Amino acid sequence: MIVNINGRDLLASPEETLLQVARRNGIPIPTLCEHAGLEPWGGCRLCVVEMTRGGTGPVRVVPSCLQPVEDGLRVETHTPRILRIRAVLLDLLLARTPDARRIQELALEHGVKRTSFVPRRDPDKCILCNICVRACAAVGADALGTAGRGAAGRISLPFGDDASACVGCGACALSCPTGAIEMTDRGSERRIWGRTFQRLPCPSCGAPTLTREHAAHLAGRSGLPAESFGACERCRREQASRLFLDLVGK
Amino acid sequence: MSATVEPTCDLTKLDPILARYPAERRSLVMVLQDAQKTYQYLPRPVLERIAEALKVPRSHVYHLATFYKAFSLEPRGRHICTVCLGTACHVRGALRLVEHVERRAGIKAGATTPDLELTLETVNCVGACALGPVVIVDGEYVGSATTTKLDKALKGIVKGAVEEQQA
Amino acid sequence: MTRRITDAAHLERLRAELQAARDPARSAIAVCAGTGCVAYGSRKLAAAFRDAVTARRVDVEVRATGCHGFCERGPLVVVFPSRIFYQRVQPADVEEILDRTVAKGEVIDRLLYADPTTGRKYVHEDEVPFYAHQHRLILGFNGKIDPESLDDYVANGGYRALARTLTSMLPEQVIEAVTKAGLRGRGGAGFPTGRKWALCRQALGNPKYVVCNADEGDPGAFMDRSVLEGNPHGVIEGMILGAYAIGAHEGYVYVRNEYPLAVERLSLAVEAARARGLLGNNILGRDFSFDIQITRGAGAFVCGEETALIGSVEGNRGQPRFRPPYPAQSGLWGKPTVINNVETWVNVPLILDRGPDWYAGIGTAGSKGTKIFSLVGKVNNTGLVEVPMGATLRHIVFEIGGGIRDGRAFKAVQTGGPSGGCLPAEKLDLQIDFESLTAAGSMMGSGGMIVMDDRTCMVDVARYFIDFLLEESCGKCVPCREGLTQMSHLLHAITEGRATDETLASLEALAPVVQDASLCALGQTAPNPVLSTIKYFRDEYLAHIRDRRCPAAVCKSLITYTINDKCTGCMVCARQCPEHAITGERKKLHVIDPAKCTRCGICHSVCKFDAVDVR
Repeated sequence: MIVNINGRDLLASPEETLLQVARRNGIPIPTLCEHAGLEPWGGCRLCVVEMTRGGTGPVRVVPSCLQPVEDGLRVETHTPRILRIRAVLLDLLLARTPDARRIQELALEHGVKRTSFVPRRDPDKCILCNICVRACAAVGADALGTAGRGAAGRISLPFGDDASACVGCGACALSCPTGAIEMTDRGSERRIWGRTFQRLPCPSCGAPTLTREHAAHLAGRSGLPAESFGACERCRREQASRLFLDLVGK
Repeated sequence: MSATVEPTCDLTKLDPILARYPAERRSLVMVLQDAQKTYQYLPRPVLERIAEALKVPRSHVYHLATFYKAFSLEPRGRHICTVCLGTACHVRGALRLVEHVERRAGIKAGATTPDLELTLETVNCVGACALGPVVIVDGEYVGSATTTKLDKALKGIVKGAVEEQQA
Repeated sequence: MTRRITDAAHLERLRAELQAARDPARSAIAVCAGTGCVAYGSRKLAAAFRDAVTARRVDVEVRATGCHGFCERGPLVVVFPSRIFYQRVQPADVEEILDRTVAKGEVIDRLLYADPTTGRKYVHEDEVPFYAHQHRLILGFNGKIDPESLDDYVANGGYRALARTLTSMLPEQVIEAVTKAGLRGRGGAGFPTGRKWALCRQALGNPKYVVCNADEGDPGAFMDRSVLEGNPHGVIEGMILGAYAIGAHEGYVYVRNEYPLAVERLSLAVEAARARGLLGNNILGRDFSFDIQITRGAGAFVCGEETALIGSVEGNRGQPRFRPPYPAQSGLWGKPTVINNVETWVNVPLILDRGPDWYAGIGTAGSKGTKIFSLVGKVNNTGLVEVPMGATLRHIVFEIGGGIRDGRAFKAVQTGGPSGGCLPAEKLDLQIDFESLTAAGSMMGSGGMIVMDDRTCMVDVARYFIDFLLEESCGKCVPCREGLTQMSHLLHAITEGRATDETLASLEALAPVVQDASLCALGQTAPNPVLSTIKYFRDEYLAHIRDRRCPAAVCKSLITYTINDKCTGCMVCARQCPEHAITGERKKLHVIDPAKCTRCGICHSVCKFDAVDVR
């Protein structure tokens, strides 16, 4: 099917979202709560675009990360209305998290230097985009969630302090767009959510890799022995490419 | 409505509740409701036991329980005073009633007196709008409530209410 | 007694027997057992009647009925067969009612309803202006039947539509009838019910579900509660018909936790229907099975939004999600699901019983049937009001509602709950339907109608709704969560006398972004109360901002209490003042110390001589 984005007719397949089609064609749309490998969430609303069905219908503002493509959609990603929405949203986020670098940068790109709103009293860097919670659930540990609701919501462990389900995989901290989750790796030691984990050495190069608990968790989920998850990222890639070359060589 | 606070939390009381529903995530809200009725609030061990029994992560139980206003993770008082803040009650001065009880009991809305005697709650409409402002004291509706009517309803529960009556 | 009803013919035989057993000349006393009347002591009253009847060994039936709607005058009693209507009846009146009205047919004057403006008294329920100007298609059942008796519902024509439909109509024909009737969803958005059902019927996926949204969260609206409490079988019958139409075998009712009586009555009704074979396998002997489960909400306004409701039923935090897919395509557990609210469901048996043409003859071109409003606030007659679509606001507020309390001036009527808006006097002749209200900057919503007088501050009302929604926002999307936080800051600045013209400009600039960018209807409509009050009552905003004055004398930071010369020196206010801010000797004019006064208003409310001024 064909969708028209910013005047260009673009080929799209039915399972794609507008954001995917736009990205594939080099059309930049800002996002904060979107993360590769996680289901779209639709919370930050930065990716909103104007959409018209069949050229004649009413103009609707929709989140491109969730809007499925339809044949004949006309989409505009940078109209004055959309740019104004994004600027106000970033202005709002800046009032919430004045110290978050990513928010400062994005806001500046949209012409917002300082927030025009009332700043939050005790600000942190969390924008409640839920990436950490979704990443944790995707890993399978389900150690995190949002406590409370609305503006009073905050990302937390159960009961605020129960890190027993955490496997120290670090997915939450690594995926957080604003660096709101503290994680320190010192040698083979990883500190996160008030717990200290030991990272296992890579069997090939000895570099610290995933935590013992993470390996055990993956083993439990997959039924494979814990050792099979031990290789560090670099060694695993090398192994994979060697395997590939072997296969192609044949 | 009897309202006794559990000094210790007897987890066996959960068994009949858990037996009533399938051990699945979809039963969670119902189980929490029944558990709150039994314990007056949702103590941590109760939530942990429910998570285990329904085979859902603790984070899910905790974060769901904190989402809904009906659940309290803090102990509640022997008596509950709920002031309705629906629109009809609001335009007829419900906020004054909240402030009145706050002054009388020396606590803010949402809090419980240190002696666990009274919890003061607000609710966004109980659907008794024609009687506004409405206050519910231990399950009894006080319609067209005034500060005087409230003092009467809270007699014996809040000290100040009695003193002022006698003054 | 709980024998299974085997087929349609059996149901009709039962109905005929029940009707024959009723002696229309038999004396009966109907005591309203709606929440309003219960709050005013109607349970004790009904018990007193029962005791007295037993003690006297007279043949008088004492019946508890559903909500009659005129809650403010409760407890309400209707004496049959004369249909004499008494209001504010107390247990002390029981003996006299039995002695005079039941035994001799006499009217007890002091228990009659007297019009607060004209003083005229009315003997029968249907003559009282509050009722006379209504069209009670749905609420009519409430006063007639005992909500805890399936037989009573059957005797009044209940389950007739179901029997006829199951024996003579194909599911597609049911959808056609509902479409032809022009029924639109009563939960707020007004989506055509027939189209929703057709989409769900056609959707791929099995099983399918029907859901009754009874999470009536709009503050100031209680029609769904009244219907559930007064006519639970009507809702159940509607759901069975809907399930038959779309091909569902399981249904859920999601009821607010704040409605304990509704949960109780509905549970009883479901059990009774199950015991009689109207729910369960092979309903009325046909090849159709359907059952209902009741799920209680847990105090989250956002769960009235259908995708959040689905999440909640599934055992999750009630957070909405983006549509499409719509629940009709992918709802509960990812299966096609029809969600309608209580009032929508209860209309369905009426349509199928009396025919779509009859139904389509009521209402306006685009909005058919009746609508129940909860008429509350500063109006003389408060309660539930059912009128045909297209009735004017003036008709509802002045003819049915009897005008404004204490002879004060009408200022506005708020419709549509937190999603709606405030309409001023110049909109009183607006014919109410889905489109007209939206065009005027408000909404039908679920039918809350809150009347405001010159002592209601419109800025305070806007602030009230924004604070309400801020507390109820699920927090998932930025414009709702952060936008409402800031709108609340701006409105507080205005009501607390800290605002400038720029504050108003910021509010007007932020509102459209919250509308455009929010994920669900909660956020998308949240600015309506603000925008509509700015539109129609801009002067009041400006008075707060430029003159630091609240014309309605509501906003605490901007008002002062003083004592005028009507003061008799009774000392009541001085004793009650929590800040000891009032001084004065007995029988001498009292004085309020403005420095100590916290503007709690207690002196104003306790003064019997109208001697405390607030401005």
